[in-house]
Amino acid sequence: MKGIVFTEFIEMVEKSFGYETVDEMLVSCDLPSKGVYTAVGTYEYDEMLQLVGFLHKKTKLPVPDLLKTFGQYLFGTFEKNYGVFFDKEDNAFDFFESIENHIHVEVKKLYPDAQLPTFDTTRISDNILEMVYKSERKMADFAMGLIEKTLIRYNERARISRENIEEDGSIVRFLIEKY
Amino acid sequence: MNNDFELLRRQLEREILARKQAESILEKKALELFEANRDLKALNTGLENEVKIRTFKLEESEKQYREIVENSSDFIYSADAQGIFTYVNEPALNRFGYQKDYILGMHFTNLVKEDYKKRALDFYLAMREEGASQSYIELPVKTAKGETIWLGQSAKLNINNGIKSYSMIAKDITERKNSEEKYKSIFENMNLGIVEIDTEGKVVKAYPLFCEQLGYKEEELLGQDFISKLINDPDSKLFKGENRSKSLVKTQELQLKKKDDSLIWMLVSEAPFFDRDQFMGSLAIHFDLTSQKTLQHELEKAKIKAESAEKAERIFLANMSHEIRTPLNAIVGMSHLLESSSLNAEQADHLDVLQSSADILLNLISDILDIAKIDAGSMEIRNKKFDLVKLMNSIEKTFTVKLDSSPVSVQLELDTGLDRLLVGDPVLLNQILYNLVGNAEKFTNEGYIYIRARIIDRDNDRISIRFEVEDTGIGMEEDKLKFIFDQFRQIDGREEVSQKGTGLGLAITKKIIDLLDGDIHVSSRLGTGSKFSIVLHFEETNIALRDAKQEIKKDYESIVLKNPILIVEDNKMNQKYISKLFEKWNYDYRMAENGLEAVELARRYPFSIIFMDLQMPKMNGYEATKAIRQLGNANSDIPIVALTASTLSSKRNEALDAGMSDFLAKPFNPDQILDVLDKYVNELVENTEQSEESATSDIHINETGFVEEKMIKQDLFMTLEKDQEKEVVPEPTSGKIEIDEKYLEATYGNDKVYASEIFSIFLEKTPEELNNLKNSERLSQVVSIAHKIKPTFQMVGLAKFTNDLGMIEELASNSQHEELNQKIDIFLNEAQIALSLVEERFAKMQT
Repeated sequence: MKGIVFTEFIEMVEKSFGYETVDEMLVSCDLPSKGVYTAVGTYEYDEMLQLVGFLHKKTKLPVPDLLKTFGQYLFGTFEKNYGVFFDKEDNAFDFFESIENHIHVEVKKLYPDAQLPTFDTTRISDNILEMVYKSERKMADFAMGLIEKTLIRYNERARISRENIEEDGSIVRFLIEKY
Repeated sequence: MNNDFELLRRQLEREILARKQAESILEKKALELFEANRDLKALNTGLENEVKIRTFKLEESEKQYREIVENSSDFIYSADAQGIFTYVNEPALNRFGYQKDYILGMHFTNLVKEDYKKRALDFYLAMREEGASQSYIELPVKTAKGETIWLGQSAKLNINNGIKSYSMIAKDITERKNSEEKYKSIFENMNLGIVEIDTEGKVVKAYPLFCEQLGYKEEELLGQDFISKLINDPDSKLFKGENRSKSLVKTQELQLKKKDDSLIWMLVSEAPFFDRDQFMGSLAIHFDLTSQKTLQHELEKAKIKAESAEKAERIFLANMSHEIRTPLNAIVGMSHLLESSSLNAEQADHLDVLQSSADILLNLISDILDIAKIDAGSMEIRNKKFDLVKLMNSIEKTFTVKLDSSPVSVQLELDTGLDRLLVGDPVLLNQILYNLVGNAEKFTNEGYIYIRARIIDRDNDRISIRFEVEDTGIGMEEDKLKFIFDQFRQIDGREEVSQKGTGLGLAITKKIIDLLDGDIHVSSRLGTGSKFSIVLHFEETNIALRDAKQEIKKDYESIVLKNPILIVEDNKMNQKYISKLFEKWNYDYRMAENGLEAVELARRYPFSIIFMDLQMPKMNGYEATKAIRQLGNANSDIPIVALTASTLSSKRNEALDAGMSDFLAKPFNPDQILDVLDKYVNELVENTEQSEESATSDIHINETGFVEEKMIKQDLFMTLEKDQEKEVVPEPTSGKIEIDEKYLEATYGNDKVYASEIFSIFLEKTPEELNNLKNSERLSQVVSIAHKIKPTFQMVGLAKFTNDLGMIEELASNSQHEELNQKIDIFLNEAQIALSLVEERFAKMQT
């Protein structure tokens, strides 16, 4: 998993709960990286699961909420660092559709070892877009946070419903209905 | 405090470690980048080399192709879609004679000859429009020097990214084209219409001239059945059957049907054509014969015209000879009568001049007619058995008598080996010898004339004889000898010779000898004499001369008739004449008065031979013959011999057409009848006669001397004219009106009863007929009377009148009124003399 996810997660925890919680999280978890993360590095996915698990125990907040919050947080970083991708499109549906075929292609060029989820999109109608999330990381909640923030970015309002195609959450269908 | 410190220390430691980790990652990335860059550089260098190598190879290959293109003997060029030259190879530039800079950017049609430009342009436009990828055309091109060359040009249309262009390769075919043009022009000038026909007989190509000849357009003929559409002759074998594929040219004159249904005569030739030994069809070549046919037609017309002109000329010549000779004969005859009256010396002198002049004139006319006949090629050789010794003796005797009172003697020297009858033309031989001896006589004042005959070669039945006539006369200079056979040419310095000839005698002699395939040679010395030497060839029979008399005269006893003879004749005198002959020879005969009776008799009784008059009442000879031929009994196949007084050869042909076997002209003599019987009935008797209607050509020389000499010439004349006109009517035997005793002797012999019967019938019938002739008002009546009484005069020895009547008949037939009236007047006057002569002669018989 890309280092930026870890560094942004650490930063979000520090901002929300202070560095003491960050320190406690990094010390108490059994992390092969010893909690040393850099945005350009790559780390085990399992470390992220331990970090999220610690925060859930510590704050008593459900894991999906945590992941969704993290997604909303990370959107801000994406928008700041990679604003050019957002500027290219003028509405949310077009942007969603460009993730799989455009943004992820560019990511792969920079990080050939990156393991990315896939988003298959289908326009059901002018106002309805189907997005199927597929990933062994089962982080659909994280994706949900990103989707919500994206709609806000384009100043659009939509009802988002989700449905697990696979029960373990490895394939999830989002139906985004603008109104 | 301590906890906070520891916390910060761990945080810092983490930050440092993270930085180092990031630095290490970045360094690693930098290294990777460096290495990647280095590889890229290396790759780049490799690529550059590769490009260099490839470029070099490409250049090499291009160079090769360029060299091939540049050095090609073919002309290679390219043009854009508009036809502007974009490339032209060196050989093409050289041949066209233009600079590269000049030609590039030029439109290709600028090179093409003026009259071909449009065709070339249309051709390539069509190629571009149709998108045809390949094409071939032959076109004439004008070089910078103004020379015309022919190109055989293949073009390829290229389409590259939608841009069209032409690549062209061309060969110089000037030589072939010129020869093609040459043959084309020959063909065109030969005016031959050509058509190609496939194996099924359908037209696959029709060339322009043929279409023009028949008035069709080519497309109207394509696919049509050649024979049924165009050929008018259903029996023509051309373009049919297995012969079509045989490699031989078949030619026929045919009529072809034109488009407008008119017909055209053409000479059509058929020749097969092949593709790699496979028969592909026929080539029909047509030559328009219209003009030939027209010409042929004109020629035929011209020929008929010329023939009629020729005939007119012949008749004119014959008439003239008669016209001149009749009064001349009168002059000669009267002068002889005068001679016997009492004359004073001066009158006798004048009469002498008169007589010799008349003689010269008569001879001249005879000679001129001879020459005319020989030149016209109408003199025929009539070979028959004859006695050479007798002929030579006659000549000797004639001249001996003639020269009786002169110091010239005639000597005959004959080869003792001449002991058999020969076959040859005795009339012509006689004329030759007579002329030569006569010539010798003229120029010999004293001494001898030798007449010799020597055998020089004898091979089986062929015999060659040299005749010589040598004199001791005045002779002539050697340089004159070559002229002596020329017509109308007499040798100078002979004026002293009292008796001049026509100058034609030797010319005639030479011509006759040539005609007989013989040779004549003359040698002479002035003052010593001349010698004429002739070599002639004959056939020799195995009949000894001592038996010759009977042989020639025909032995009637040897002719055996199984069945009687049928005579069909309406003329009483002829009936009498012919029946008397058969009675004399002991032949059984039946007489029919006309054709109808003849057919009736022939239906009932078998006959050996029929002698049939042509013009008879009730049914004429032609009809009767046809009827008898269709009887279906034995008589259908027996010989039928026409008897007629007509002298026209057309009558003869008509008789033969009607189915008659032969033709005997009246008046005929006993020998002729025997000849016919011998020829048709008696196959046992050897027959070497070539002429079935030969007249009595034996030369009868009696002892009367001079008069007889003229007579021989007259006889000769008669024979020649007879030959030409196919006439057997004899000429008058003398200028005098007198009965031909010779003829009577030959015909009646000692049978005075027979002769007097004939004479009495003549005296009984003739005055009435003469009266009829005198009073006749219609030409047809004249023709009929003249025809009827014509033969009777000959029978009483007055051949002159027979001949005169022949002339009258002809003049009447041709409606020549003026001449006819004149002729009839003369004839009637003379006939009165004749009647009195016959009466006198008849009276003599009774004693």
